[in-house]
Amino acid sequence: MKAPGSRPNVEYVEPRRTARGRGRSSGAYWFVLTGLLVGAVAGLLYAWLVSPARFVETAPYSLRPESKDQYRLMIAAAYGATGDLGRAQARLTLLRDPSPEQALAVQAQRLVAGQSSYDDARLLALLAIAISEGRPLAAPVSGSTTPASLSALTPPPVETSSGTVHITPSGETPVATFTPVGREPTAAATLTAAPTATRPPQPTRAPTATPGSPFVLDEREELCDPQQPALLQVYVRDAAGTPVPGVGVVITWSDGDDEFFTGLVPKVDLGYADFAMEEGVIYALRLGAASLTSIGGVPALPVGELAAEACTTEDGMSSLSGWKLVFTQK
Amino acid sequence: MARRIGFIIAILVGLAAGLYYGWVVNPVNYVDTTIDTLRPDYQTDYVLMVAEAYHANGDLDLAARRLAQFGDDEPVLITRQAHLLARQYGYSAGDLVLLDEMALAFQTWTPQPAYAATLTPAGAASTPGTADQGAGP
Repeated sequence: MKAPGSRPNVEYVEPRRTARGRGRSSGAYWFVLTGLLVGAVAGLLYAWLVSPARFVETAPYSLRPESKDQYRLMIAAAYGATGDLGRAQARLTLLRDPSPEQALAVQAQRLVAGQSSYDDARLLALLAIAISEGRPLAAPVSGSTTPASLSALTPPPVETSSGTVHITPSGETPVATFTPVGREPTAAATLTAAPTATRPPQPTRAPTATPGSPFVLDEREELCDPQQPALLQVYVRDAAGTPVPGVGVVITWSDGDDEFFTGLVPKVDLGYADFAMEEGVIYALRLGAASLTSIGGVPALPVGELAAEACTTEDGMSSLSGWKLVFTQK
Repeated sequence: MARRIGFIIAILVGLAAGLYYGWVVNPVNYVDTTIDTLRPDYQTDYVLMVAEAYHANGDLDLAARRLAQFGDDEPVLITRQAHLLARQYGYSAGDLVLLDEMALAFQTWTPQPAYAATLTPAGAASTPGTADQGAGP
């Protein structure tokens, strides 16, 4: 006969102990996991929201688009003032644009399209052109208001650790002293004087049209290209046949007009500009009403009526006709 | 008691892990910032660009508008501060001359009536950037 409660108690208690043991072990894990989770969330909240890393002391590449535009414009304005292409390019690298000259050209086109500031567009375009050509300005671009008193303020040649830096009106400024700023390990650096080489001699300046010499229409060709429907393409050459950037092109139609400049699409040609025509509208075009470079006095030259009309290619594809106009200076 | 200690330790470990992740591994990456939040050496270079352009065109109102990106501070103060930093950073003497020239001009500058109208609102200049989390290195 079994003693009362002996065996049954044992059998009853052991399973409960086992169950309790499992419960304690599982509960301990949950405590650890919960603690880690709570701590991690608290840490992230603190690190991202309460005290995030480095809000101030940002770099130019993190600027919002309109601030980047302003920064880019200032680079172009400074370049227009000094003609220091090396410094301008170093500054542009800070914005980390995939293609700085393209970014400059696009911004210039936006300004021209928005009719906001031709002066600013001119500065941007000149820098884009200089970068594309790899040649700096032969002379700084003076603003429309250059007091004589300021002209006399040309600083004398100064000695720096990088050599003599001449800031002269003729723009013969040895590539100077700007090492791209930054604490980043790469581009660098600080705005301290750095060893730089004297700019190699520039045999010629960027091609510009001869002041006063007229452009004549050398070629006027109607195109039928489905890839570029209704596109008016303008090429401007100097007397030597070199593309001339910065020439103003004025186009007018019955109830409007527009102005654009050569050189804003350097990938095509430095003397190239284009305009998207609308079907059924008749356009007239002339050169030289305004220019990015000093070609004042170029007479307006009408080229006849231009229009985008339905056309058929040799392959039988339908499209809208475009025009190719080539002007050469005589 | 042991549970509480373990729980607290777990929280601390988690906190440390969260801070490490948030500050080091994937810190807040600010985008869409404004010029007034630039690091001082970049700001100094921006002021130098304004001074270079001013030297060429002599347009002090335009220079003031360009410096208004930094907020409500007087242009002369912004330029002086940049001059001090430029000396500290070892700018060339030519650059210091340009900054000095603009600072001197601003000392006697009286804003044209049109200047106030075209001035960038301070709020716009000081609007902080937005945080872009998850775009860490």
